[in-house]
Parts: sequence; structure tokens; C-alpha cells
Amino acid sequence: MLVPVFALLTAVLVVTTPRAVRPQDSDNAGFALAAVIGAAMGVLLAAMTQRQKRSAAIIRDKPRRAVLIGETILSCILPMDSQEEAIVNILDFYDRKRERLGKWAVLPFWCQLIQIAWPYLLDGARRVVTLGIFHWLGHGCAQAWEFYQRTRK
Amino acid sequence: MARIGELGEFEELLLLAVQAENGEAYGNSLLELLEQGAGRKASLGAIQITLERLEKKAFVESRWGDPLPERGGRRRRYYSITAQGATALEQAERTRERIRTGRRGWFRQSGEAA
Repeated sequence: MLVPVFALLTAVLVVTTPRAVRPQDSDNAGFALAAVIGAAMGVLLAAMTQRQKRSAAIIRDKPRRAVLIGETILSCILPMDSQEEAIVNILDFYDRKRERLGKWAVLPFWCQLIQIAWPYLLDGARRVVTLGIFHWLGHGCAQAWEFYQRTRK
Repeated sequence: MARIGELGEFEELLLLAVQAENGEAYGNSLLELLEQGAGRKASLGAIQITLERLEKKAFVESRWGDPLPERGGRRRRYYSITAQGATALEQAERTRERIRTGRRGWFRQSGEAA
């Protein structure tokens, strides 16, 4: 709740700041734009907060919350082109399992989720490690070059 | 022309399932079909990756379905078999048949073809 209030306050401050106090290179158009952006941000953030509140009220039952968390994790990890397909598939899978297993359907849901996300996680980790190694090698080479330069003199 | 070597065991099963679903195959329906039809436990991830591979080989093609309100407007991706995929399946079946009948069957088939 504090964030939208803060954003709205910023917008109001920008609009009401006396011209004499403003930076010299700024013009009215720039300030008006800043005010519009600030207000829009405030409205957007307020709407998002309201939506979060409503979602929290809906997701009182734990399995549904777990599924939503899983869905969010998948949308963060998976690349855009395969994300939509994977999420629809896994939600269909969950619904099918829920008919038989009830609230325990969350367990196979998470098993499937891990299996889908695992290759992408591994790929990401591999990329990070590779980058880390290259960074370390680059750093090592730079140090060696510096040492060589210093000893030459 | 597709060769048998181009089709792995799981790929072949999945291609058969896609063919059986008649243009309405998607990840979860294929998972169900493999479970019930072949008694095979597969993961959605494995199915999705294999379908991607089959699409790259041009054995299947995909189309997006309509947005689903209950899935937040997301769409299902439906797969159907291509002519090349059907040929690959036929060839895999023929090769299996030739091996099953042994050398004699093999030569008989070659004679018939000639």
C-alpha cells in the first residue's frame, strides 16, 4: 500500500513544485511528462496491490496456492517459446490428477514441474559456471599480463 | 526419405500417439495415451522435448489452439503428423517386419519389389 501512495505523492510533488526551485535545464513539458508517468505508475501499482489482495483471498486453500507458485516458477525459468505450452499441459495434468487424488495431486504436479524445469535449470547453471570460469580465466590472464609488464621494467 | 535411424524408440511411440490423436494431440493427451495404451510412464518434460525434436525433423507440425479462459488466456499447442512422419513410421514398421521374417523374408520382399 505504501508504494502506490509514495508514487502518487511523487507525482503530486512534481506537479506542485514551484518553477523557481526546478532545475534550470528542465522545461514544463518534461515536468508534465514526469507527472503523467508518476501518476500512471501510482494507478498501476494501486491496481496491482488490489489484485494481490484479491488473489490472496482466493488462494486460501494450500494446494491451489502451491499450483500457482509452481506456475510462477515455470514462467520464470522456461524460455518464452515453450512456456505457454508447458504451463497449460501441467495445469491440465494437475486437474486430471485432482479428480483421483484430491489435494494430494500437488505431489505429482511438483514431480512433473521439477522434471520440466530441471533441464532449463541445469542449462542455466552450466551457463553461469562457464561464464564464471571465463571470468576467472580472463582475470588470471590480466593479472599475468600486469605482472609481466611490471617485471619487464 | 526418412531412415529408421532417425526415429528413436520413444520418438516412434510418440509419433504413433500423435497419429492416433488425429490432429488433436497435445502434451497431456499424449501422456494419457502413453500411460493407458503403452503402459509407459513418461514426464511432460520428456514429451515436450521429444515433440520439439520431432518437429525439427519435420515429422510433426503444430498449431496453437484458442485461448483458454480457465488457463489465463493461454493456448494449447496441438500436434499432427506430417507425410514425412507417416513415411518414417511405415519404414520403421517395414524394417521391423523384415528383421522379424529373417533373411528369407528379406530376399522374398526384394524379389517382389524387383
